[in-house]
Amino acid sequence: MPGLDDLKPFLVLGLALGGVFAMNGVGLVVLYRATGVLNLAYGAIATTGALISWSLLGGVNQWIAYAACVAFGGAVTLAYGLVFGPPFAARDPLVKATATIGLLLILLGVMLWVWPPSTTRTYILPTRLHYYEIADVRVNWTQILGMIFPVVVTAGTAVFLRVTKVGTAMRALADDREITAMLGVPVRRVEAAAWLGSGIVCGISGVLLGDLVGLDIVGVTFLIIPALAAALIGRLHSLWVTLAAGFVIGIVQSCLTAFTRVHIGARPLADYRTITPFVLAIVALLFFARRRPLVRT
Amino acid sequence: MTTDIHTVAADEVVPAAPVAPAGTARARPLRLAIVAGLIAFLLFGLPPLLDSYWMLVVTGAAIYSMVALGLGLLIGRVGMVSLCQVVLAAVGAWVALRLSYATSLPFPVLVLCAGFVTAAIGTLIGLPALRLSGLYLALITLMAAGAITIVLRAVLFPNGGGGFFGNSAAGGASSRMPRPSLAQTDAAYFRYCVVVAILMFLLAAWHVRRKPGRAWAAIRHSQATAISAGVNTVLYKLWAFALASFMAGVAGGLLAASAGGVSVQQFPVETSVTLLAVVLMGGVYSLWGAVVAAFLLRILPALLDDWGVSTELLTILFGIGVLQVLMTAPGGLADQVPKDLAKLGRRIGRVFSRREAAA
Amino acid sequence: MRRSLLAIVAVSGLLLAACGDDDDDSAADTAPDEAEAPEDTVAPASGSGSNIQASGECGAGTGEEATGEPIKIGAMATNSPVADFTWITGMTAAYFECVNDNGGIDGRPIEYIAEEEQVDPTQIASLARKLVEQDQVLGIVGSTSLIECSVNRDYYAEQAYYVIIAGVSQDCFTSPNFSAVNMGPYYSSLGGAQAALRAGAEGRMVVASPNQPGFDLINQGVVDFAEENDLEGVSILEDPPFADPAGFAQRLVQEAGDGGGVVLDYTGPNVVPLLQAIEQQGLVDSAIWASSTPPNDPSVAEALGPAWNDKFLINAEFNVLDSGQPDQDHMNEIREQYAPDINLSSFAQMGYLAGRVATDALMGIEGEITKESVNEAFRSITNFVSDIWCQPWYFESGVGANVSNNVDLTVVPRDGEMVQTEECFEIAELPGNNLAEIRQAEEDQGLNTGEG
Repeated sequence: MPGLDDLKPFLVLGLALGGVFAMNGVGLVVLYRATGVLNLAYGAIATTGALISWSLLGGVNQWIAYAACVAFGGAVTLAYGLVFGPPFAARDPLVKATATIGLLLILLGVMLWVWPPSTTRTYILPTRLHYYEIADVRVNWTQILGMIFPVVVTAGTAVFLRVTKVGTAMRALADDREITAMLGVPVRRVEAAAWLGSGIVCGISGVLLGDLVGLDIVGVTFLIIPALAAALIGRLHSLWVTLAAGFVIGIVQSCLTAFTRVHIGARPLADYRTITPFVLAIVALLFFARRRPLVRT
Repeated sequence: MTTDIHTVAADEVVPAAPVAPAGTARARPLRLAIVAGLIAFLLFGLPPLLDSYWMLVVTGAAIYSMVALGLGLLIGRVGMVSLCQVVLAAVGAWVALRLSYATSLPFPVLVLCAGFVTAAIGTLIGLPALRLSGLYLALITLMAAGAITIVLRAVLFPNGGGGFFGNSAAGGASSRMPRPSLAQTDAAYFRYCVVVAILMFLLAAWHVRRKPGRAWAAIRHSQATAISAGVNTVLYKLWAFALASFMAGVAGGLLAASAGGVSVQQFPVETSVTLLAVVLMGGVYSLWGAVVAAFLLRILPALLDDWGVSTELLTILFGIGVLQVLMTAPGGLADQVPKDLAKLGRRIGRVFSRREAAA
Repeated sequence: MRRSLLAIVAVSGLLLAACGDDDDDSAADTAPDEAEAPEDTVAPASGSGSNIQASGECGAGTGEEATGEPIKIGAMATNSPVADFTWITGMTAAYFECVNDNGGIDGRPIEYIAEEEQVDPTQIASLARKLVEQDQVLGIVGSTSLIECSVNRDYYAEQAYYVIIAGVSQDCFTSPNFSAVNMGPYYSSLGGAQAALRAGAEGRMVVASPNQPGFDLINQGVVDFAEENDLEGVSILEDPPFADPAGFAQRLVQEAGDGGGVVLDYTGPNVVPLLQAIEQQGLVDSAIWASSTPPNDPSVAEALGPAWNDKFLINAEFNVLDSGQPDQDHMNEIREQYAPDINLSSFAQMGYLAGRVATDALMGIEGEITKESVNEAFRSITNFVSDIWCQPWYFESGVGANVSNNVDLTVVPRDGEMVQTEECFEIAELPGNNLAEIRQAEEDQGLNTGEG
């Protein structure tokens, strides 16, 4: 069993990893709350934007390149929402989520075609060059941003939904779309705002993830799966719980890296660490399922 | 529209299948004849036409049609989406391989055992599903798929080694189960797989026409109504899951004996997403949809590769297909193509009858 | 006119070099130097010695396009998110194109059918059948796959194909029907471990490879080597891409302990984020870092900062990419002309060499070009000399396993380039590997001693 000293660096790194999960998880829940759509293409949009930034770097000013990723995220998400939002608006969340799989596959195909995986692609954000040393581990500013960003998004969204008119309209929309429309709230415009906002958050995630995790197409696109685990623990509703869940998953997964002497079968526990989000999500779901009645119409 | 976990699905991934119009009773013998003819062609007419490369491709298609069938039943009849069908096929392959090294049971028994064990595991995954609605069920199957994939990658497929997991480093990179004695050649094995697939389709058809099918239809229409009508929703939902998992497990067992064997890398979680796309495109109303899905998943990529078209195009096409099916053609190709053909047939008929009238 | 000018320049270059200083082949079994008489490329008989080619020419060097009946050659390469080996078949294709532009094989062009696979055993088995039975290729050259050797070895034995490959899994090096122009991760990681040991690694030697079928066997080489040299060997299997490269870096350092060595076994695109994390965490000096050959690629050197100068010992299965020697320059030319999208890299070297030896063998066939004569020609290749290899290459050792490339050197990144730091050295013979046997066979049969 590793001691606290062995675990300390992994605790710190786990926060950084958790930031990645929390970032995507919170982005997912924000959109789900406003439109009922669980955007499974979230990771794909972020990755495509990051690759666009990578392609532009060296040719244009780096801030323009990164801004392109954010703009792309906002534009694609908004476009999807405008075109495919209304037709699916009255349908079950499962149908809406399945539809986003269509967008996921389209983007995946485009990415693999335009940026074939054979070459090394990386970029280094200027924030990576500065770091702090904590517990024998260096944490750079990109990682710190990766931790702060989801917190800011969570707090900001909470405030926005409560305080602003558009936010209140979004909450009403989430509750009951028909009645909200009947009350004269410009439903489509509010939804468009939700899509755009989610897309911009997605784009910013893309910029950060390109530096934190790299530009591996399939890997970053399907980073959405552990992020979904965090979102599930938050019951697709609570941003704060999703945020916390993301960080907890990251810390636990990272700490398991230190368990190299404990074995399951022939392999050390450390080799199984990527199972953490799934196990935690399944446990959480089982827990939630037990306390509720079977049917509610 | 709500974010609560436990809302009963107000509609389903695809709307309920339409009631078959009267007049199909007369068309039945014709349809049976067509199906019989197709089966005869597959078993006897096709193998001599194919070279060994295409033989292996269509064998893969026959096997995956069972996986697609299970998923199609879940989506089309019960309204549940599962994202772990492909991983369950891997589990089936694992079970079949482990048993084949540990015992000397005959091949069909191994495949059946693979099916039953996988069905049990699928039921376990489906248990929490009882209390959760559509989206959450899909997500929990995704979580289960992710977890099982990681475990499989750590323990690998059995290759003759010792211990529970039966894998040893010296055993080689891919694991293969010996084929049954009456299906040693590639062509014979293809026929064997087709026969098993037909059995699975018959199993599915039996379910659909009898009590389970009616119970599923009631559940999909409205779970509350079904319960008040006395339908044991818990049982039938679990049954559906077990059936789909059984089919995936049997498919996995057959895969374990395919040329080249199996390796854990060929069952990534991403394939479950692609499978969902092709099953939707193939059509979830009718059992034929599974055949179309298998074609899209295994035969079309091989054709495109032959013609020099890149497979990324296919991924994009599948994405467009998903959106199209969900928006406008919920029955998928299996539903749309016969309808279009029928429409075409009627138009042609009208042209002729007008000519006759004019003459 | 231009071609003859180039030929004159090349020949003069050879003459000058021959008279000049040969400061990079001091060791006994380094690449043959240019003291051989300058040649132009009349088709040498299969199995003969020096095959230095004049620049701008391939194969027959006629400068005319071949128009006869095509000679079909097949191959397959992995193209999946974990590994993309299509540069190798791409480079072989480029070489064959150059051959076709220069008269082909007796006026017949080579039709190269290169398939891609996604690590699916059934797909790989079916592609082999497609090449052999449907396309009816006369030979297979340049295949590179994570698992093909394991899946197809029996099939190729049945069909009597002798396949020239770039090998990955150990099955590629334990079967008489495959012979690799490269060394493969087992031997290459071993070479990395040897370099790390020479650089002062002590206590523990860690080896990390992808969690792909067959790689635990590959790690075993380094573990055995460590134990032979009184270190503790630690084997780690971790799939790229790394979700948390900084965490993995910390784990590697912890496992290596003080002054320990770490041998990495990943491709360029996968290893760079890890190396960047190691640098970022300040761990470059916390262990002796070494690697098998795939990161030997200028784009990797460019992606690494000066903190990595001389600190990443990459086992280069071939000579350095900017050696300035004739074959290397020839490869660079062909790459620029026919396949500019392929990076100058050891993968490109593999593809080039596969194309070279195959073409040479094909040109040496007397009589009809059939499946039997082609595979017999491939099988009889001996003493093929190239400045890209440390020692001459041959196909068959006769002991049931072929590891012809078993001597190589080490390169390190320095200021954005890969630079050689060690002379050619022999990969370690261990009780667990077959190198002792193979070297004995090489000596007994004169397979690579330079005698025709």
